Amino acid sequence: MSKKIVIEIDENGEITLETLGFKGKSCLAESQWIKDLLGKELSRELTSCYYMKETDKEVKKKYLNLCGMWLLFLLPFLS
Amino acid sequence: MELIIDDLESLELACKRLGCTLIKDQKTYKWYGTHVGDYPLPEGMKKEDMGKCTHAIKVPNASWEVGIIEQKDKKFKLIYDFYGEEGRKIHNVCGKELGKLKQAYTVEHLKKKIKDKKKAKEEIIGKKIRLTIEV
Repeated sequence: MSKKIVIEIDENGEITLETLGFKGKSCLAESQWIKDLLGKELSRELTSCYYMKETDKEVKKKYLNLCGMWLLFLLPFLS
Repeated sequence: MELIIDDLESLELACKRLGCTLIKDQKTYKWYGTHVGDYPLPEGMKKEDMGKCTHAIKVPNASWEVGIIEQKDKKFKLIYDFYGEEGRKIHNVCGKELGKLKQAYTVEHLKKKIKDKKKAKEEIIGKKIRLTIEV
């Protein structure tokens, strides 16, 4: 899912901001510039995505570690 | 979010969106002319401050105007007289408490700051304006 920031402004000038496709706390950091630009944040509602881990990175790390172990294990047989 | 208006260029574009005209350096705005005390004075303003501004906004089909007051912190305060028929004419164009003007300002200000314009999509959904930015 692509990452998006959706800003809705009603005819009273009220602004709501929603982040889509983000996992974890990055949604807050990625949307901070909009808040800084427009004014003061009055309230915040965190969705379930905020509590999700950025798992993609963790999986990659595990995979690389495993590769390293296998290589180490195979080295004596290769030499 | 509570909007802070601090960019005159975006405010000018917002005025154009609503058919209004921002007149730079117009030091007074048209209103009823006297504060009769039926409503409290706007926050931080004295009776003698009424009618004075830094710039003004001309609203189509209305004789009264919106005043833009530049504050010490460089932020702008919008002021107008909402009384009677003339006040209603301002409401019709700029919205109650200038909500439509604030809406237009927000959109223009955001669009100005988005570096890659292709990644921003503007839609009108009922009375709301939605701006979707691809990150």
